[in-house]
Amino acid sequence: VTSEAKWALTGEGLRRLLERLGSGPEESGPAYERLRLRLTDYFDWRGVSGPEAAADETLDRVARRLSEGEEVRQLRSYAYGVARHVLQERLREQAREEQAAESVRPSPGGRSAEEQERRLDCLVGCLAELTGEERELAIAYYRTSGPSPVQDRRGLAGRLGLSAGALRTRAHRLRHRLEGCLHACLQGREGR
Amino acid sequence: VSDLLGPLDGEARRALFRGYFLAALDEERTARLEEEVLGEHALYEEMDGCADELIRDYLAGALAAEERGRFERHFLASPRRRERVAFLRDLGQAIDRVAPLPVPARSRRAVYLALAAALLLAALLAFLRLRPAAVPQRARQPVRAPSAGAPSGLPAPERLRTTPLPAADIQEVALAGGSAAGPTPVAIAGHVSALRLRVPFAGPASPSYAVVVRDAAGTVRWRSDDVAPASATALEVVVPSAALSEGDYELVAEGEALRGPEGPRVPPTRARFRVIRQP
Repeated sequence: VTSEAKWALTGEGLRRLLERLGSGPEESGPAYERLRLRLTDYFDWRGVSGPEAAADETLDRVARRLSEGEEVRQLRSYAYGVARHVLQERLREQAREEQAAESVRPSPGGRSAEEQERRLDCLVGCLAELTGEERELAIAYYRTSGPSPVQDRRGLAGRLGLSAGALRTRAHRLRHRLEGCLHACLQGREGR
Repeated sequence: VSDLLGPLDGEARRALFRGYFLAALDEERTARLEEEVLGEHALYEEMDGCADELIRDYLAGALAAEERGRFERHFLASPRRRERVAFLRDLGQAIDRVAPLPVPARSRRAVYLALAAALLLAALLAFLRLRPAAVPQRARQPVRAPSAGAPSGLPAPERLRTTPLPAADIQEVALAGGSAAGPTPVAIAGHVSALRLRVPFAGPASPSYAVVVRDAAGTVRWRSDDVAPASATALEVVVPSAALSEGDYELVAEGEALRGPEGPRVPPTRARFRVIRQP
């Protein structure tokens, strides 16, 4: 399959996939991104190198099947089934490549003191942009120094009137925002 | 979709999520959990928040030894997750800048008590120096340790260097590193207020160490999270003798690089010792 033919196939399939994910672009776009994020994490949790590419391949295959007229009742379960196939293939490929290359996992490059300081400056700015309650949540949930983290979390959930699960969900969203803020801040500084 | 998470309360869900991230679930439960989480974004968010908790516990040194080992073997195997750990470590540092940790009232009280105790001790020592005859002879003798495997009371000066320091009553103890070595016997006389434990590193030196002393039951008797090395080859910590009753102990020192995701993989420094109380 050439890349052009693949794209043509995926374009039609993508439209059908988006239709299945939501009733309009405002709904289907974010739903697509959320599904892609879950799939990316799934492949990452399972040890696939290049989890984003594996998630894209899964969505591409799902879209193609839809465009071919395959009947899909539960889209998310179907996507999971496809993801499992992609996972097996990727892990087999990885095993072959690692055996051939005897590859050693590259260690991440360390940051210079200047880079690290820039990151911390950005993060301090990002924390300052939060509301008071959000900042309290970030501080109590993500502080790594001080008293026992478990006690902090229980105390915080009690103060905010949240269950442990709801607290995790809010912390997850807050962390995503802070990551986005850090990324934007670092890019802004590089652009200067 | 099988309902694995539905019947579980918050703590049980947390345990399940942590088991997943630490590769401690069997394949069937792993697959069921993945199917549920991939199908429902709210569950995914909850599970992902649990990964943050796990990372934070790791960075705070709050994971048990087995969990920590699994975390380093499985969770840190992914570059994406190592990046996330680095992000949360940076976030923790940024938080310390915007909201410095307040000194708890209990700690302040402890500082005042320690100061008061030091003043009292200094006054007492000054008094004793003026009246040397009043000092019991036994208290001025070096404490000797029994040799390993020998009955208590027999000297083993090559294993235990004891120098009574009248100014502070700190007993110097050289511990043998490595868990294979038998426990170093440490005889503590009644007048000793603290032990200065010296232990050689396992592996390269780290800028700082988290040091824990546990008893035979695994209970933490003493800890300090930011201990700088005393030299290029050894670490020293001063542990109050009141924290150590008679029995076996293990000192474990983890280097900063080990706790972070990007440092060299060096084993923690371990040393075992046996406390024998003397009058």
